[in-house]
Order: sequence, then structure tokens, then C-alpha cells
Amino acid sequence: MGKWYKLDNAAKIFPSVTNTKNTSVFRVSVLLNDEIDVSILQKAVDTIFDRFPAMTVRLRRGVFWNYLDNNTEKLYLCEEREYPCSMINPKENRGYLIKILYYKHRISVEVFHSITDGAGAIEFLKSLLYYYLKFLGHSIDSEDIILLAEDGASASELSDSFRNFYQKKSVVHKIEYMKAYSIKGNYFDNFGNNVIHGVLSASKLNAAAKAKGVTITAYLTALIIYSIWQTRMKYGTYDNPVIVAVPVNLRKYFPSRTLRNFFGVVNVGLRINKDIVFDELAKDIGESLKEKTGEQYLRNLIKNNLKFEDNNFTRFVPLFIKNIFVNRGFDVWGERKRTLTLSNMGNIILPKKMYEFINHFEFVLYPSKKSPINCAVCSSDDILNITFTRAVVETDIIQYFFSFLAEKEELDVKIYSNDWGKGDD
Amino acid sequence: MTKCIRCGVSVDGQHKNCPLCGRRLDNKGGGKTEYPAYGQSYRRIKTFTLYKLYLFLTISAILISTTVNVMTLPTDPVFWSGIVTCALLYTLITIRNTIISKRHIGAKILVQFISLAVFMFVIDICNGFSKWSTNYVIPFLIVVSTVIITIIALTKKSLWLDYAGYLFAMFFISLCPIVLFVFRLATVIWTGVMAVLYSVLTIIGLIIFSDEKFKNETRKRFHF
Repeated sequence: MGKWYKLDNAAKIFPSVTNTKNTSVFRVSVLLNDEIDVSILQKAVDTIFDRFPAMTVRLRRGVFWNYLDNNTEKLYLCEEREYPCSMINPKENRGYLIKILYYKHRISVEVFHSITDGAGAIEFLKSLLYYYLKFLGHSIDSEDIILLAEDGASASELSDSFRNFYQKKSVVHKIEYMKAYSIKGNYFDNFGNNVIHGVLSASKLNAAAKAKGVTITAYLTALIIYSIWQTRMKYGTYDNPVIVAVPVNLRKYFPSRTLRNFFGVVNVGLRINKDIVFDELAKDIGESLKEKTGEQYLRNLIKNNLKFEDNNFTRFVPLFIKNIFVNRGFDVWGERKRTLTLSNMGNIILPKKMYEFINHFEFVLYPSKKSPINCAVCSSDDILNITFTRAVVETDIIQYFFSFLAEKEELDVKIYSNDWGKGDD
Repeated sequence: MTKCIRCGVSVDGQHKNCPLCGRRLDNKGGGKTEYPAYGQSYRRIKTFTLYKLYLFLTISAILISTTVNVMTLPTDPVFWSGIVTCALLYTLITIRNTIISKRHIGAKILVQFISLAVFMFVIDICNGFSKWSTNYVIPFLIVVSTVIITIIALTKKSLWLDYAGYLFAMFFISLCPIVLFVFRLATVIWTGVMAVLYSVLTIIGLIIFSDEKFKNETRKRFHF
């Protein structure tokens, strides 16, 4: 009865800025070698229900802040019918802010961002998969990698890590107010998200990145900037810089076992006004990312975010007034500051035996009004999956991106898509 | 799986066209990465519904009556179209909010009260503003709304907690007649005071007769 959670720092923004064009719902999914057995999957969901109390909640309105309350309704599976990352309406979802979907070979978990981030969601999916395969009859050793239903949820998994690593010591942090180049496009006749996935070898891409002296994230960030330049900016004059927002999993830098949000967004990019060479661009982005993921920089990030929340004035303003300001603030300082988001979840580690039954994972971000194209990356067992989500018809940037990998880097890239908007003409 | 010559990538079997450039491919089907066919998901907006007809008629009536009123003002100096407009808007709000909408009943009562209060106020103004609306009707409506919310909350004991918020809101609203009096929009004070008093007594009753669950809920809703 008493279980309830305040929203963590990142979570507080999402309820105020969410609408059909910016759903704040991301997806983690997995493709299995065999078609999904629905009753077994439902059994797995029921088994892990109590292990993830921070996910099985409903959002409630308080006077000053929203909060998350215990949800006692049964969490049912649903066959996938809508486009990925569509809006979650708690009233039509038994109060839940997560959806577990299945279709043929795919199990998807869609999550409203106030609940958790990609790292938290993937733990949920891993546990779900573990029990699903176990109930199918396969004997799998969890190898301490999976969160098991038998162990209770620990307090460290429910903590607000932004608070735990908040240092009041003030360090000067420059906030840039540049308006970023924004990608324009035509919405589909029927509004929805089109996803294009590219599958390639993680080790081969890593080798290509190492050859330029950077990490995979830096390489892909540089490539997306290069693609935007080549397809949209080369034959014109654009003063605005191309900025890519790169969410960083703070658990890599600060010890935390939280299953709620714990990420910081780092903006990298540059103003392009002459022909750029990809190799140099990659090096620049690599250095920029390295600098902005230094410990002090990240501590500043946490501090700046919490500064707004802890301000006495902000705390005592009623929620409905706060929503108006957050909405405006998000538009000016959030949306306009970046061209698109590229989120790399990194390598997903599973017990060895589980790899036999899994094809690969997918990580899907939601687009927003000013960023109608977003990119998400994840990998597992040497298979890297790059997903572009777009709410607009144009594919030129995405085509250049994958063609570059396939032709210039000579990597074997496999493409598939959900084909939303295909029947429009 | 076929290679798209233009893009240099391989495309899974279920696609007849390359997702990146649209070029036709030689694919024969199959593939374990399929998404559902979205045919049914494409939304069709109904161009004609009864509600849209009603909305159109209401707006037309408002514009026509206002135009006629303004044009005949020299011969008939009564601003009657204000009452007509308000009546039509009030009916619209009642239908939309109270009858059709699925919102919480506390919210419905609140919206009903506000629209009715405004309606009465406008009638009063158009009829010489003898202040009967601000002196008597509005405080009366406040008391009635609070009573209704309290009765519903008592009969639905399990949902007691949701109503507390609306009763608090009614308290703040009950301060309005006092404000109106200060701004000389009302001439009688005892009705306004009575409304505030009733509101405060309801809230005190709520706190005294509440249980542990209510105290927990209050802590959650008021956390900062």
C-alpha cells in the first residue's frame, strides 16, 4: 500500500512536454528465432512483475509535482498493432506507463521515459526473456547477469541517483544558447513513425572506428553529421551548427544500480561552412565527446539539472503553472539546441546459453517536433543494430548514412523497416 | 534478402521496395523481422458528426444574434445577444463536459459551477447589473456545489481521496465573493462569508474524520 516514488530529475520533464508529436515513449525489443508463444510470455510477465516495482506504476498528479503510485492491475500483453513509440494513454492501458507487445518473432517493451531510461528498460527485457526461455523448457544459468524474480527489488535499484551524486560545490559551466540546424520534412499523410533498422557486425564497425581513432558512438555521431551535411547543407549557406544530443549512461561513470533514470545529455557538434573531411570530423567529435564525458563535466550536468528542481521558488509553484513554463523552456533550451539525438545503449550482455535463441536486439527512440529523425544504437553478440525513427517522409539522410557504411567502409549492412506510410500514395 | 544496387545494402525478404530509396527489389518474401501490416491503424477522421453540426449551428446562432443586436442597437438599446450567446455556450459546455465527457465527477461539477456562475453574471450585467448574481446566486452555487461533492464522496467511500482535491478547490473558489465585494461588484457580504464558512467546515470535517490512508495520500499529493 505505502509504495510510491517521487519522479527522478529527468522524469519530471516528460509528463509536461508529452503530446502525440513527442510521445516520450522509447522501445527496446528483441527478435527471437522462433515465433512468440503468447501464454508462456504472459506467464513470464507475471513472474517478474514484483521484481520491478518501479516499472509497474501509475502516474498521479500532485499539487506541486507528479508522482508514481503503486499499480495493482494485472499487466497484460498486447499484440503489436500501432507504429513503434506511439503515445501511451494510461486510461486505455490499465494505468500502466509501459506496454509489452508481441508480433511474430518480436517481443517489444515500450516505456514512458518518466519510468526509466534505456539501461533500466533493457534489464526488464533481459529478465523477461530469461523467464520466457526458461518456461519454454530450456535450462539456462543466469550467471548473475539477470535480475531474478526470487531476489526482491533492492533499495539501490529504486534510488534517485541524480540526488545521490549531487554536489553542491559550484563550478562554472558554460551554457551555450546557439540555435541548432533543424531537419525539415513533410509529415506522412497518416501521422506515425517509420523505423528503418540497419544490422551490421559490431566488431567490424569498431575496427573502422578505431582506424579513425574514435569510439563507435563518436564515429556514428560524426557520420550522421556528415550525412546531414552531404544531403542538406552542402549546397547552401547555413549559419546554424549541427548539434547531436548524445545521452550518456551515468552508471558507467558513477557507481549506481538504479533501475530508474540516470543519464545525462551531452551536446556535440559544430558549425559547418566549408567542405569537411570525414576523418577530421570524426576526430573532432571524438575529442569533444571525450571532453564532455569527463567526471567534472558530468557532475556539472547533474548539478545544473538539479538546480532547477531544488530552487525554492520552483518547488512551491503549483504543477499546472509549472507545466506551462516547462513546456516553453523545453522548446527553447531543449528542442532548439539540437538537430537530432543519437543514443547508444552499448553492448547487451546475456548468459551464454540465451544467445542461441535470440536473433538480435533493437532500440528505438521517439521523434519530436523539432527532431523528426532520431537514431538509436545497441549491440549484442557482435550484432550491431542502428535504428532511425522518423515522422517525415524523406529518407535522404538515412540513405546516405547506410550507403556510406556499406560502400565506403565496405561493411555488410542489412536493412529492414516497418514501412509506415508506404501505402500513402 | 536482396541487395539494393543503388544503396549498396542488403534488404530483408519482406520488402518489395528498398526502404532507403524506394527502388524495386527482387525479394520473394519471408524474413523474421516483420512488423504488422498497419492498414487498420490508419485513422480516418469523420468529416460529419452530430456534434460538429451542433457546434456549427451554435457558432452561427451566436454570430447572427450578435450582428442583429449590434445593428439594431439605436432602436433597441438592450444588449440581449450577450444573454443568447452565454446561454448557447452554457448549453454547449454542459453537453460536452457534463454529459459526454468521461472526466471525474468532481471536475464536472467544478466546470458546471463555473459556467453557470458566469452565465448568471452575464444575465445580471445585461439587465442593469443590480448585483443579484454576485450577492446571492454565486455564493449559493458555491454552497450547493460543495454539498453535492460532499454527498457523492460520502456515498462512494472508497473514492473519498479523489474528492478531497475538489473540495480544496471549492474552498479557494469560495473566497471569490469576498474578492468581488472588495471590488464593489457585490454589495452584500454575509452570503460570501457564509460560503467560505461552509467550505472551511467541510474541510475540517474531512480532516477530522479521515483515516490513515487519507493522511498517506495527502503526503503524496502535497510532496515538494
